Amino acid sequence: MVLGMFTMEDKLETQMDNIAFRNQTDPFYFGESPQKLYGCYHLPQKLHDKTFAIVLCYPIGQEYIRSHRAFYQLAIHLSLAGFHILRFDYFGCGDSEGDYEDGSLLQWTNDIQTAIAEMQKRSGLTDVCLIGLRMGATLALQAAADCPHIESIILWEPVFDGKRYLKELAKSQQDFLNQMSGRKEREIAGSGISNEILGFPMTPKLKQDLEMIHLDHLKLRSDVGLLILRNRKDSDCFNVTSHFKKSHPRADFQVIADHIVWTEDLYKRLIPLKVISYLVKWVDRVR
Amino acid sequence: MKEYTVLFNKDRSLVGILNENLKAVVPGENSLIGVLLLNSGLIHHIGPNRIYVKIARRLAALGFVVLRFDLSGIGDSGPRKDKMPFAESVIDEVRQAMDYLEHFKGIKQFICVGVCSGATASAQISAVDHRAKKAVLINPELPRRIQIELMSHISYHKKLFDLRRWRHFLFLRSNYREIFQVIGMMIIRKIRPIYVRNSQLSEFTTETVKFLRSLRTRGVRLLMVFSEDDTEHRYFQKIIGDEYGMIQNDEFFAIEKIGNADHLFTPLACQEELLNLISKWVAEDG
Repeated sequence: MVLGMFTMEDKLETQMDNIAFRNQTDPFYFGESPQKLYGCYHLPQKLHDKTFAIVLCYPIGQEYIRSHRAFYQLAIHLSLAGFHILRFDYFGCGDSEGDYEDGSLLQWTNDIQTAIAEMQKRSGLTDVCLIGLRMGATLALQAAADCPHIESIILWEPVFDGKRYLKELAKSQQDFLNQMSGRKEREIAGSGISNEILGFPMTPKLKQDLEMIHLDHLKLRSDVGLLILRNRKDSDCFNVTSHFKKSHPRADFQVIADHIVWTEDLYKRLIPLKVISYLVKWVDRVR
Repeated sequence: MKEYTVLFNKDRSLVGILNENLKAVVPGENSLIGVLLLNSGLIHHIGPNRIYVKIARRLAALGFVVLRFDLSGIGDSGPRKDKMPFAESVIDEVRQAMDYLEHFKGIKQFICVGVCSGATASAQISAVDHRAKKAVLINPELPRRIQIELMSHISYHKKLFDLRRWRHFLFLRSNYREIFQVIGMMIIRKIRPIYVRNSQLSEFTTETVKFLRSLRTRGVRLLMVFSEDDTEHRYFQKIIGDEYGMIQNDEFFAIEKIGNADHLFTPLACQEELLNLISKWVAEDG
């Protein structure tokens, strides 16, 4: 929608920036060297009466970079609602120590456990809500399975089927190659492309780990609040819903058509406002 | 190697990560030179494809003190309190980063590095702050109005007779957005007076050449790195025109091209080539 020279999104973003202005962010490193993790702790911006803190779990690879801005805005809105928020980078990702190729799903799941412990220490709260996007959601669910202090978990467009996820990544890499101008296909074939996805290495170990993902096998404690949020309705959405309906009667399901930020270029300045608004209400209302 | 967070600016709203090699502090001269990595568009301080993290660690290993930070309103940094225009706030905030390193580390010489808009900012700060001694401009971004003018000047005839491109077009694998932009520009060209676009371009060419010469006079060394197939390289050649050869042969300027690379250096092999190029050039004569 266009309002004079500005779009509706520009207007909303300006409002969000004004809100962000009041926010206090504390960047820091935590964990043990040489596996220190980078985190940003957002203090609650109103009288703190919450009984749990929130840890945000990013996606991985190129999806992480593209969703960083949305996570920043999500963290600000949650902190304005009075929550303690920690967003952090997994080992080998973002600003954390290590190289991406040295990371693994097990390592990143353990990183979530480390982040939970750090958050408990900083906020003084024992219980934690995890919010994960894409692979971050999958890792959060894995971490929650072993953690007794999970109050609730939000799976935002989670990766339920590793093989399907790998196919999606391979397609995005192929689309990127097709768009590169002046590039000969023969050169592409010889440049080790299958070992990288959109600027990040895809090691045989990571590929193998990803292939094994199937969340049907994962169990969650029945008293843990669960929200599965999707941006689109598809067959995968139906399968997932029916699985969790059987195993987790308290689960909420929601489909919200909004920007698919993890696939979009940052210059488009897209913020999934509908999703952010819904998530803030969900954690505030349900708890 | 030490890697830690820093907060600076008057209200400590700018967030950065500092890399320094503690072992190199005493013996090396490089520890007296700071490297600043400037945001590429809206991408936060890890840079496109996390390349800034790799550059920072590589240069810190050589002994440089490296700061990669977010400008206000980008990444982890908060927005500005005042209404200063972006063009001015970039300069102001890069200067504050320099002030920070000068105050806490005693660093008085800087190398500014950036991709795309970060490269443009690096060039701009080099022209106004005497502490900036070198700059690495990676696919520097030209003003949008000039890009649009240039799009219609670049020849697309070669592409028109390229069978592979036609195959891509027919099998829905082309960049249709770019194609429509070019067609749109061609239509606009038809209805706009020729003298307007030519005078805009020649004015910008004069400005650019003057700008580069002023950097040379100030003793600033530049490394310009282009992705060979990226439009920015073609635009730059078009803008500089006859001066391109002169710049290539000037001891103050170096122009390098990296093949099979996109604008943001996505393929890993290109990233490695870029890293090697930067670390070699930056380390030369300190």
